[in-house]
Amino acid sequence: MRMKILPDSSADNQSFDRIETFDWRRLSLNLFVIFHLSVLFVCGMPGTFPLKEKAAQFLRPYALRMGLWQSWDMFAPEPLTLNAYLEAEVEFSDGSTRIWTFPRVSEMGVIDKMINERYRKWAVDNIRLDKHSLFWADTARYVARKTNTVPGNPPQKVFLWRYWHPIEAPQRKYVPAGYRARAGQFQKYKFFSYRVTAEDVR
Amino acid sequence: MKLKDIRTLWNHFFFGKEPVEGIAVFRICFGLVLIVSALFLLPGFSDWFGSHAIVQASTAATFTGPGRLNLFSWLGDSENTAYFIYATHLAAVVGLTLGFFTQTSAVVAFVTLVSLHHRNPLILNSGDTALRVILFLLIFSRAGDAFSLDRWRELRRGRASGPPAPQMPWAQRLIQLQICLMYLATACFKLQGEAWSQGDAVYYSSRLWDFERFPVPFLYDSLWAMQGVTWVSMAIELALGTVVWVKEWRASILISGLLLHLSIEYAMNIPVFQWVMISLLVALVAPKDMRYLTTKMQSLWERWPLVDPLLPLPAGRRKKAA
Repeated sequence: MRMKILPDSSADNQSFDRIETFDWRRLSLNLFVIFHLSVLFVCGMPGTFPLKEKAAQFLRPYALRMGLWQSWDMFAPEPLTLNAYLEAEVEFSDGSTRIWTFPRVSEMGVIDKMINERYRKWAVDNIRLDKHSLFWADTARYVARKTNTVPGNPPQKVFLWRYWHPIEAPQRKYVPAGYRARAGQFQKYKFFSYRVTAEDVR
Repeated sequence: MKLKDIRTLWNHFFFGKEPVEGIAVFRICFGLVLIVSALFLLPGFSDWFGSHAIVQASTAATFTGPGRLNLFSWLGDSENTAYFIYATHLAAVVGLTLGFFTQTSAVVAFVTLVSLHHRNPLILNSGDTALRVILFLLIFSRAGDAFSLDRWRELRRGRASGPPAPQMPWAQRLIQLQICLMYLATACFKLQGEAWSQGDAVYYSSRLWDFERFPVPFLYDSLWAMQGVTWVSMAIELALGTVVWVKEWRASILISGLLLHLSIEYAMNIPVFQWVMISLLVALVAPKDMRYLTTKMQSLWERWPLVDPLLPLPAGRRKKAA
Protein backbone atom coordinates (compact mmCIF):
# COMPACT_ATOMS: atom_id res chain seq x y z
CA MET A 1 0.00 0.00 0.00
CA ARG A 2 1.54 3.27 -1.11
CA MET A 3 1.30 6.03 1.44
CA LYS A 4 0.22 8.42 -1.25
CA ILE A 5 -1.39 11.45 0.29
CA LEU A 6 -0.94 13.94 -2.46
CA PRO A 7 -1.19 13.62 -6.22
CA ASP A 8 1.98 14.00 -8.28
CA SER A 9 2.04 17.66 -9.07
CA SER A 10 4.57 20.34 -9.49
CA ALA A 11 2.21 22.92 -8.06
CA ASP A 12 3.29 22.86 -4.43
CA ASN A 13 0.83 25.38 -3.15
CA GLN A 14 -2.11 23.66 -4.70
CA SER A 15 -1.04 20.37 -3.07
CA PHE A 16 -0.55 22.04 0.26
CA ASP A 17 -4.08 23.45 0.06
CA ARG A 18 -5.46 20.04 -0.73
CA ILE A 19 -3.93 18.44 2.31
CA GLU A 20 -5.71 20.95 4.51
CA THR A 21 -8.98 19.38 3.37
CA PHE A 22 -7.83 15.93 4.45
CA ASP A 23 -7.46 16.62 8.14
CA TRP A 24 -7.95 13.02 9.23
CA ARG A 25 -5.11 11.89 7.03
CA ARG A 26 -2.92 14.63 8.31
CA LEU A 27 -3.81 13.64 11.85
CA SER A 28 -2.98 9.98 11.25
CA LEU A 29 0.33 10.93 9.64
CA ASN A 30 1.17 13.12 12.61
CA LEU A 31 0.27 10.33 15.02
CA PHE A 32 2.39 7.86 13.06
CA VAL A 33 5.36 10.23 13.14
CA ILE A 34 4.98 10.99 16.85
CA PHE A 35 4.51 7.31 17.71
CA HIS A 36 7.63 6.24 15.84
CA LEU A 37 9.70 9.09 17.18
CA SER A 38 8.72 7.89 20.66
CA VAL A 39 9.69 4.31 19.75
CA LEU A 40 13.09 5.50 18.49
CA PHE A 41 13.73 7.51 21.62
CA VAL A 42 12.50 4.94 24.14
CA CYS A 43 14.20 1.94 22.48
CA GLY A 44 17.35 3.64 21.23
CA MET A 45 18.53 6.19 23.77
CA PRO A 46 20.42 5.20 26.91
CA GLY A 47 19.36 6.26 30.38
CA THR A 48 16.16 5.81 32.30
CA PHE A 49 13.70 8.13 33.94
CA PRO A 50 10.13 7.48 35.14
CA LEU A 51 8.31 8.84 32.06
CA LYS A 52 10.56 6.87 29.70
CA GLU A 53 9.96 3.68 31.69
CA LYS A 54 6.21 4.25 31.60
CA ALA A 55 6.29 4.81 27.85
CA ALA A 56 8.51 1.76 27.39
CA GLN A 57 5.80 -0.49 28.86
CA PHE A 58 3.62 0.38 25.87
CA LEU A 59 6.19 0.91 23.14
CA ARG A 60 8.75 -1.83 23.74
CA PRO A 61 6.40 -4.77 23.02
CA TYR A 62 5.54 -3.17 19.67
CA ALA A 63 9.22 -2.60 18.85
CA LEU A 64 10.16 -6.16 19.82
CA ARG A 65 7.42 -7.80 17.82
CA MET A 66 7.97 -5.66 14.73
CA GLY A 67 11.75 -6.08 14.75
CA LEU A 68 12.41 -2.44 15.63
CA TRP A 69 14.44 -3.25 18.75
CA GLN A 70 17.76 -1.45 18.81
CA SER A 71 20.82 -0.79 20.91
CA TRP A 72 23.76 1.39 19.94
CA ASP A 73 26.32 0.46 22.59
CA MET A 74 29.08 -0.51 20.14
CA PHE A 75 32.39 -0.72 22.05
CA ALA A 76 30.56 1.10 24.85
CA PRO A 77 30.27 2.07 27.62
CA GLU A 78 33.62 0.22 27.78
CA PRO A 79 35.33 -1.60 24.91
CA LEU A 80 36.16 -5.25 25.52
CA THR A 81 39.38 -5.47 27.54
CA LEU A 82 40.23 -9.10 26.89
CA ASN A 83 40.92 -11.47 24.04
CA ALA A 84 38.88 -14.63 24.25
CA TYR A 85 38.02 -17.82 22.44
CA LEU A 86 36.08 -21.01 23.09
CA GLU A 87 36.92 -24.69 22.87
CA ALA A 88 34.86 -27.82 23.25
CA GLU A 89 36.28 -30.98 24.78
CA VAL A 90 34.49 -34.01 23.37
CA GLU A 91 34.52 -37.39 25.08
CA PHE A 92 33.73 -40.37 22.83
CA SER A 93 32.18 -43.71 23.72
CA ASP A 94 35.56 -45.50 23.49
CA GLY A 95 36.92 -43.17 26.20
CA SER A 96 39.05 -41.04 23.85
CA THR A 97 38.82 -37.26 23.86
CA ARG A 98 39.20 -34.60 21.20
CA ILE A 99 39.40 -30.81 21.33
CA TRP A 100 37.11 -29.01 18.92
CA THR A 101 38.01 -25.32 18.54
CA PHE A 102 35.35 -22.80 17.62
CA PRO A 103 36.32 -20.83 14.49
CA ARG A 104 38.94 -18.28 15.63
CA VAL A 105 39.00 -15.28 13.31
CA SER A 106 42.18 -13.98 14.95
CA GLU A 107 44.00 -16.90 13.32
CA MET A 108 42.56 -16.21 9.86
CA GLY A 109 43.55 -14.08 6.88
CA VAL A 110 41.70 -10.90 5.92
CA ILE A 111 39.10 -12.52 3.65
CA ASP A 112 38.37 -15.54 5.89
CA LYS A 113 38.09 -13.18 8.82
CA MET A 114 35.34 -11.26 7.04
CA ILE A 115 33.49 -14.38 5.98
CA ASN A 116 33.63 -15.97 9.43
CA GLU A 117 32.89 -12.88 11.49
CA ARG A 118 29.44 -14.15 12.43
CA TYR A 119 31.02 -17.23 14.03
CA ARG A 120 33.04 -14.87 16.24
CA LYS A 121 29.94 -12.90 17.08
CA TRP A 122 28.08 -16.07 18.02
CA ALA A 123 30.87 -17.64 20.09
CA VAL A 124 32.95 -14.85 21.63
CA ASP A 125 30.35 -12.12 22.05
CA ASN A 126 27.42 -14.33 23.00
CA ILE A 127 27.97 -18.02 23.89
CA ARG A 128 30.92 -17.09 26.12
CA LEU A 129 28.68 -15.08 28.42
CA ASP A 130 26.60 -16.50 31.27
CA LYS A 131 23.61 -14.41 30.21
CA HIS A 132 23.34 -16.59 27.11
CA SER A 133 23.35 -19.92 28.97
CA LEU A 134 20.05 -20.69 27.24
CA PHE A 135 22.05 -21.47 24.09
CA TRP A 136 24.75 -23.65 25.63
CA ALA A 137 22.92 -26.95 25.16
CA ASP A 138 22.26 -26.15 21.48
CA THR A 139 25.96 -25.32 21.10
CA ALA A 140 27.03 -28.61 22.70
CA ARG A 141 24.66 -30.53 20.42
CA TYR A 142 26.12 -28.72 17.40
CA VAL A 143 29.65 -29.70 18.46
CA ALA A 144 28.50 -33.31 18.99
CA ARG A 145 27.09 -33.42 15.45
CA LYS A 146 30.29 -31.91 14.04
CA THR A 147 32.53 -34.43 15.79
CA ASN A 148 30.39 -37.49 15.14
CA THR A 149 32.59 -38.63 12.26
CA VAL A 150 33.67 -42.16 13.23
CA PRO A 151 30.91 -44.80 12.90
CA GLY A 152 30.41 -46.75 16.11
CA ASN A 153 32.22 -44.18 18.22
CA PRO A 154 29.77 -41.36 18.86
CA PRO A 155 30.46 -38.49 21.24
CA GLN A 156 29.23 -39.12 24.77
CA LYS A 157 29.95 -35.86 26.55
CA VAL A 158 30.74 -32.30 25.50
CA PHE A 159 32.42 -29.78 27.78
CA LEU A 160 32.55 -26.11 26.81
CA TRP A 161 35.64 -24.13 27.84
CA ARG A 162 36.24 -20.42 27.70
CA TYR A 163 39.75 -18.98 27.42
CA TRP A 164 40.64 -15.36 27.97
CA HIS A 165 43.62 -13.08 28.26
CA PRO A 166 43.10 -9.57 29.70
CA ILE A 167 44.49 -6.47 28.01
CA GLU A 168 46.35 -4.53 30.66
CA ALA A 169 45.53 -0.86 31.17
CA PRO A 170 48.14 1.24 29.32
CA GLN A 171 49.02 3.13 32.51
CA ARG A 172 49.86 -0.17 34.25
CA LYS A 173 51.49 -2.19 31.50
CA TYR A 174 51.54 -0.88 27.94
CA VAL A 175 50.75 -3.70 25.51
CA PRO A 176 52.44 -3.11 22.13
CA ALA A 177 50.30 -3.34 19.01
CA GLY A 178 50.35 -6.81 17.46
CA TYR A 179 51.33 -8.54 20.71
CA ARG A 180 50.03 -12.10 20.98
CA ALA A 181 49.78 -14.03 24.24
CA ARG A 182 51.04 -17.63 24.19
CA ALA A 183 48.64 -20.51 24.72
CA GLY A 184 49.76 -21.05 28.34
CA GLN A 185 49.10 -17.44 29.29
CA PHE A 186 45.33 -17.73 28.88
CA GLN A 187 43.03 -18.23 31.82
CA LYS A 188 40.44 -20.93 31.30
CA TYR A 189 37.18 -22.13 32.76
CA LYS A 190 34.89 -25.05 32.00
CA PHE A 191 31.48 -23.46 31.92
CA PHE A 192 29.17 -26.19 30.61
CA SER A 193 28.93 -29.97 30.52
CA TYR A 194 26.49 -31.86 28.36
CA ARG A 195 25.66 -35.56 28.06
CA VAL A 196 24.99 -36.37 24.40
CA THR A 197 21.99 -38.53 23.49
CA ALA A 198 21.53 -40.67 20.38
CA GLU A 199 18.87 -38.18 19.23
CA ASP A 200 21.39 -35.32 19.31
CA VAL A 201 23.72 -36.82 16.72
CA ARG A 202 21.06 -38.21 14.39
CA MET B 1 8.17 31.27 20.38
CA LYS B 2 4.44 30.74 20.10
CA LEU B 3 2.64 27.41 19.86
CA LYS B 4 1.64 28.35 16.34
CA ASP B 5 5.30 28.81 15.41
CA ILE B 6 6.15 25.34 16.72
CA ARG B 7 3.30 23.90 14.66
CA THR B 8 4.52 25.71 11.56
CA LEU B 9 8.06 24.46 12.13
CA TRP B 10 6.82 20.90 12.65
CA ASN B 11 4.69 21.02 9.51
CA HIS B 12 7.49 22.53 7.48
CA PHE B 13 9.98 19.95 8.71
CA PHE B 14 7.86 16.85 8.20
CA PHE B 15 5.33 17.88 5.56
CA GLY B 16 6.88 20.72 3.53
CA LYS B 17 7.62 19.46 0.01
CA GLU B 18 11.19 18.30 -0.72
CA PRO B 19 12.85 16.92 -3.89
CA VAL B 20 12.87 13.12 -4.00
CA GLU B 21 16.32 12.68 -5.58
CA GLY B 22 18.00 12.49 -2.16
CA ILE B 23 15.92 9.62 -0.83
CA ALA B 24 16.20 7.86 -4.21
CA VAL B 25 20.01 7.98 -4.18
CA PHE B 26 19.91 6.82 -0.58
CA ARG B 27 17.68 3.88 -1.63
CA ILE B 28 20.29 2.77 -4.17
CA CYS B 29 23.25 3.02 -1.76
CA PHE B 30 21.33 1.38 1.07
CA GLY B 31 20.05 -1.33 -1.28
CA LEU B 32 23.58 -2.18 -2.42
CA VAL B 33 24.65 -2.59 1.19
CA LEU B 34 21.61 -4.79 1.83
CA ILE B 35 22.65 -7.01 -1.08
CA VAL B 36 26.22 -7.32 0.21
CA SER B 37 24.95 -8.00 3.71
CA ALA B 38 22.64 -10.73 2.40
CA LEU B 39 25.52 -12.34 0.46
CA PHE B 40 27.61 -12.38 3.63
CA LEU B 41 24.98 -14.65 5.19
CA LEU B 42 25.64 -17.39 2.65
CA PRO B 43 28.82 -18.88 4.16
CA GLY B 44 27.56 -20.95 7.06
CA PHE B 45 23.95 -20.40 6.06
CA SER B 46 22.86 -23.87 7.23
CA ASP B 47 24.64 -23.32 10.54
CA TRP B 48 22.62 -20.18 11.15
CA PHE B 49 19.20 -20.90 9.69
CA GLY B 50 18.96 -24.55 8.59
CA SER B 51 16.97 -27.33 10.21
CA HIS B 52 20.15 -28.45 12.05
CA ALA B 53 21.26 -24.92 12.83
CA ILE B 54 23.44 -24.15 15.82
CA VAL B 55 20.56 -22.32 17.47
CA GLN B 56 17.40 -24.39 17.31
CA ALA B 57 14.23 -22.58 16.29
CA SER B 58 12.57 -23.43 19.61
CA THR B 59 15.50 -21.96 21.57
CA ALA B 60 15.44 -18.79 19.46
CA ALA B 61 11.68 -18.50 20.04
CA THR B 62 12.20 -18.87 23.81
CA PHE B 63 14.86 -16.17 23.68
CA THR B 64 12.95 -13.68 21.57
CA GLY B 65 9.57 -14.29 23.20
CA PRO B 66 6.20 -14.92 21.62
CA GLY B 67 4.46 -12.96 18.88
CA ARG B 68 7.51 -11.86 16.92
CA LEU B 69 7.25 -11.11 13.23
CA ASN B 70 8.87 -14.30 11.96
CA LEU B 71 8.01 -16.22 8.79
CA PHE B 72 9.78 -19.29 10.19
CA SER B 73 7.08 -19.68 12.84
CA TRP B 74 4.42 -19.86 10.10
CA LEU B 75 6.30 -21.78 7.43
CA GLY B 76 8.28 -24.13 9.68
CA ASP B 77 12.03 -24.22 10.22
CA SER B 78 13.13 -26.62 7.49
CA GLU B 79 16.17 -26.08 5.31
CA ASN B 80 13.89 -25.35 2.35
CA THR B 81 11.99 -22.68 4.28
CA ALA B 82 15.27 -21.01 5.20
CA TYR B 83 16.45 -20.94 1.59
CA PHE B 84 13.03 -19.76 0.39
CA ILE B 85 13.02 -16.84 2.85
CA TYR B 86 16.62 -16.01 1.97
CA ALA B 87 16.02 -16.13 -1.80
CA THR B 88 12.92 -13.96 -1.40
CA HIS B 89 14.92 -11.51 0.65
CA LEU B 90 17.70 -11.34 -1.91
CA ALA B 91 15.22 -10.81 -4.75
CA ALA B 92 13.44 -8.10 -2.76
CA VAL B 93 16.62 -6.15 -1.95
CA VAL B 94 17.68 -6.30 -5.59
CA GLY B 95 14.20 -5.02 -6.52
CA LEU B 96 14.49 -2.26 -3.95
CA THR B 97 17.90 -1.20 -5.25
CA LEU B 98 16.67 -1.05 -8.83
CA GLY B 99 13.43 0.63 -7.80
CA PHE B 100 11.31 -2.18 -9.18
CA PHE B 101 7.94 -2.19 -7.38
CA THR B 102 9.90 -0.25 -4.82
CA GLN B 103 7.43 -0.15 -1.96
CA THR B 104 6.42 -3.80 -2.29
CA SER B 105 10.09 -4.79 -2.51
CA ALA B 106 10.81 -2.80 0.66
CA VAL B 107 7.98 -4.51 2.56
CA VAL B 108 9.09 -8.00 1.45
CA ALA B 109 12.75 -7.19 2.18
CA PHE B 110 11.83 -5.98 5.67
CA VAL B 111 9.62 -8.95 6.60
CA THR B 112 12.19 -11.49 5.38
CA LEU B 113 15.08 -9.65 7.05
CA VAL B 114 13.25 -9.48 10.38
CA SER B 115 12.42 -13.18 10.08
CA LEU B 116 16.06 -14.10 9.54
CA HIS B 117 17.08 -11.89 12.46
CA HIS B 118 14.47 -13.40 14.77
CA ARG B 119 15.50 -16.89 13.69
CA ASN B 120 19.03 -16.36 14.96
CA PRO B 121 19.62 -13.22 17.02
CA LEU B 122 23.05 -14.38 18.26
CA ILE B 123 24.92 -13.50 15.08
CA LEU B 124 23.69 -9.94 14.67
CA ASN B 125 25.72 -6.78 15.08
CA SER B 126 24.69 -3.13 15.13
CA GLY B 127 24.93 -2.96 11.34
CA ASP B 128 22.16 -5.55 11.11
CA THR B 129 20.07 -3.53 13.54
CA ALA B 130 20.60 -0.38 11.48
CA LEU B 131 19.59 -2.18 8.27
CA ARG B 132 16.43 -3.47 9.90
CA VAL B 133 15.14 -0.28 11.47
CA ILE B 134 15.99 1.92 8.49
CA LEU B 135 14.46 -0.54 6.05
CA PHE B 136 11.20 -0.32 7.99
CA LEU B 137 11.11 3.46 7.63
CA LEU B 138 12.12 3.29 3.97
CA ILE B 139 8.85 1.45 3.26
CA PHE B 140 6.94 4.68 3.85
CA SER B 141 9.21 6.96 1.83
CA ARG B 142 8.96 8.05 -1.80
CA ALA B 143 12.30 6.40 -2.58
CA GLY B 144 11.01 4.92 -5.83
CA ASP B 145 9.96 8.24 -7.32
CA ALA B 146 13.32 8.87 -9.00
CA PHE B 147 16.22 6.87 -10.43
CA SER B 148 14.09 3.76 -10.48
CA LEU B 149 12.59 1.26 -12.88
CA ASP B 150 9.21 2.32 -11.52
CA ARG B 151 9.82 5.88 -12.68
CA TRP B 152 11.26 4.73 -15.99
CA ARG B 153 8.13 2.62 -16.61
CA GLU B 154 5.85 5.52 -15.75
CA LEU B 155 7.72 7.80 -18.16
CA ARG B 156 7.62 5.23 -20.97
CA ARG B 157 3.91 4.67 -20.54
CA GLY B 158 3.28 8.39 -20.52
CA ARG B 159 1.80 8.28 -17.02
CA ALA B 160 4.35 10.76 -15.77
CA SER B 161 6.14 13.65 -17.30
CA GLY B 162 8.60 16.25 -16.20
CA PRO B 163 10.90 15.92 -13.23
CA PRO B 164 9.59 13.95 -10.24
CA ALA B 165 7.33 16.09 -8.11
CA PRO B 166 8.61 17.08 -4.68
CA GLN B 167 6.95 15.10 -1.90
CA MET B 168 6.32 15.33 1.81
CA PRO B 169 9.53 14.06 3.41
CA TRP B 170 8.11 12.78 6.71
CA ALA B 171 9.45 9.23 6.24
CA GLN B 172 12.79 10.63 5.06
CA ARG B 173 12.85 12.83 8.18
CA LEU B 174 12.19 9.81 10.39
CA ILE B 175 15.11 8.04 8.70
CA GLN B 176 17.34 11.07 9.28
CA LEU B 177 16.26 11.34 12.91
CA GLN B 178 16.84 7.62 13.41
CA ILE B 179 20.37 7.99 12.04
CA CYS B 180 21.08 10.96 14.29
CA LEU B 181 19.73 9.04 17.25
CA MET B 182 22.12 6.15 16.50
CA TYR B 183 25.11 8.47 16.62
CA LEU B 184 23.85 10.40 19.63
CA ALA B 185 23.01 7.22 21.55
CA THR B 186 26.40 5.63 20.88
CA ALA B 187 28.14 8.86 21.92
CA CYS B 188 26.05 8.95 25.13
CA PHE B 189 26.89 5.30 25.90
CA LYS B 190 30.56 6.06 25.36
CA LEU B 191 30.48 9.15 27.56
CA GLN B 192 29.46 6.85 30.43
CA GLY B 193 32.61 4.75 30.00
CA GLU B 194 35.94 5.38 31.68
CA ALA B 195 37.99 4.14 28.71
CA TRP B 196 36.34 6.67 26.41
CA SER B 197 36.60 9.64 28.74
CA GLN B 198 40.25 8.80 29.54
CA GLY B 199 41.00 8.31 25.87
CA ASP B 200 42.02 4.63 26.15
CA ALA B 201 39.22 3.14 24.06
CA VAL B 202 41.19 3.00 20.80
CA TYR B 203 44.12 1.44 22.68
CA TYR B 204 41.92 -1.41 23.93
CA SER B 205 40.07 -1.83 20.62
CA SER B 206 43.33 -1.99 18.67
CA ARG B 207 44.56 -4.80 20.94
CA LEU B 208 41.57 -7.03 20.21
CA TRP B 209 43.05 -9.65 17.86
CA ASP B 210 39.71 -10.65 16.38
CA PHE B 211 39.20 -7.13 15.02
CA GLU B 212 42.67 -6.61 13.52
CA ARG B 213 42.71 -6.05 9.78
CA PHE B 214 45.52 -4.00 8.21
CA PRO B 215 48.49 -2.55 10.13
CA VAL B 216 48.26 0.99 11.48
CA PRO B 217 51.95 1.65 12.24
CA PHE B 218 52.30 5.08 13.82
CA LEU B 219 48.89 5.55 15.35
CA TYR B 220 48.67 2.23 17.19
CA ASP B 221 52.15 2.73 18.65
CA SER B 222 51.51 6.08 20.30
CA LEU B 223 49.28 6.36 23.35
CA TRP B 224 48.89 10.10 22.76
CA ALA B 225 47.75 9.59 19.19
CA MET B 226 45.29 6.89 20.24
CA GLN B 227 43.86 9.19 22.91
CA GLY B 228 43.43 11.91 20.31
CA VAL B 229 41.67 9.54 17.92
CA THR B 230 39.40 8.29 20.72
CA TRP B 231 38.19 11.79 21.51
CA VAL B 232 37.98 12.93 17.89
CA SER B 233 35.88 9.90 16.92
CA MET B 234 33.55 10.54 19.85
CA ALA B 235 33.27 14.21 18.86
CA ILE B 236 32.42 13.26 15.26
CA GLU B 237 29.72 10.86 16.46
CA LEU B 238 28.31 13.52 18.74
CA ALA B 239 28.29 16.02 15.87
CA LEU B 240 26.59 13.53 13.55
CA GLY B 241 23.91 13.07 16.17
CA THR B 242 23.28 16.74 16.82
CA VAL B 243 24.78 19.68 14.91
CA VAL B 244 24.71 17.92 11.54
CA TRP B 245 21.43 19.79 11.09
CA VAL B 246 23.28 23.13 10.96
CA LYS B 247 23.43 23.83 7.23
CA GLU B 248 26.83 25.52 7.25
CA TRP B 249 28.46 22.60 9.08
CA ARG B 250 26.63 19.71 7.49
CA ALA B 251 29.02 18.99 4.62
CA SER B 252 32.16 19.05 6.79
CA ILE B 253 30.53 16.87 9.46
CA LEU B 254 29.41 14.34 6.86
CA ILE B 255 32.89 14.25 5.32
CA SER B 256 34.38 13.74 8.81
CA GLY B 257 31.91 10.88 9.36
CA LEU B 258 32.85 9.36 6.02
CA LEU B 259 36.57 9.52 6.86
CA LEU B 260 35.91 8.06 10.31
CA HIS B 261 34.08 5.06 8.87
CA LEU B 262 36.60 4.54 6.07
CA SER B 263 39.49 4.55 8.54
CA ILE B 264 37.71 2.05 10.80
CA GLU B 265 36.98 -0.07 7.73
CA TYR B 266 40.72 -0.08 6.96
CA ALA B 267 41.87 -0.84 10.48
CA MET B 268 39.19 -3.12 11.91
CA ASN B 269 37.43 -6.28 10.86
CA ILE B 270 33.75 -5.44 11.30
CA PRO B 271 32.37 -6.59 7.94
CA VAL B 272 29.65 -4.52 6.27
CA PHE B 273 29.02 -2.33 9.34
CA GLN B 274 31.04 0.66 8.11
CA TRP B 275 29.38 0.45 4.69
CA VAL B 276 25.99 0.43 6.35
CA MET B 277 26.90 3.59 8.21
CA ILE B 278 28.41 5.25 5.12
CA SER B 279 25.21 4.53 3.18
CA LEU B 280 23.24 6.11 6.02
CA LEU B 281 25.30 9.29 5.74
CA VAL B 282 23.86 9.68 2.23
CA ALA B 283 20.43 10.18 3.77
CA LEU B 284 21.76 13.22 5.64
CA VAL B 285 23.01 15.05 2.54
CA ALA B 286 21.03 18.25 1.96
CA PRO B 287 18.51 18.00 -0.95
CA LYS B 288 20.14 20.90 -2.78
CA ASP B 289 23.56 19.26 -2.58
CA MET B 290 22.09 15.95 -3.68
CA ARG B 291 20.46 17.55 -6.71
CA TYR B 292 23.80 19.17 -7.58
CA LEU B 293 25.60 15.82 -7.22
CA THR B 294 23.07 13.93 -9.33
CA THR B 295 23.24 16.58 -12.07
CA LYS B 296 27.03 16.29 -11.99
CA MET B 297 26.78 12.53 -12.29
CA GLN B 298 24.46 12.99 -15.21
CA SER B 299 27.14 14.90 -17.02
CA LEU B 300 29.52 11.96 -16.55
CA TRP B 301 27.28 9.55 -18.40
CA GLU B 302 26.52 9.99 -22.05
CA ARG B 303 23.18 8.38 -21.56
CA TRP B 304 21.74 7.19 -18.28
CA PRO B 305 18.21 5.99 -18.99
CA LEU B 306 16.99 6.06 -15.41
CA VAL B 307 17.78 9.73 -14.99
CA ASP B 308 14.82 11.89 -15.71
CA PRO B 309 15.16 13.30 -19.25
CA LEU B 310 13.86 16.67 -18.17
CA LEU B 311 16.48 17.32 -15.55
CA PRO B 312 18.77 20.15 -16.67
CA LEU B 313 21.40 18.84 -19.09
CA PRO B 314 25.02 19.83 -18.75
CA ALA B 315 26.15 22.49 -21.21
CA GLY B 316 28.05 20.05 -23.49
CA ARG B 317 25.06 17.78 -23.92
CA ARG B 318 22.65 20.70 -24.44
CA LYS B 319 24.70 21.66 -27.52
CA LYS B 320 24.70 18.05 -28.76
CA ALA B 321 20.96 17.73 -28.24
CA ALA B 322 20.35 20.97 -30.15
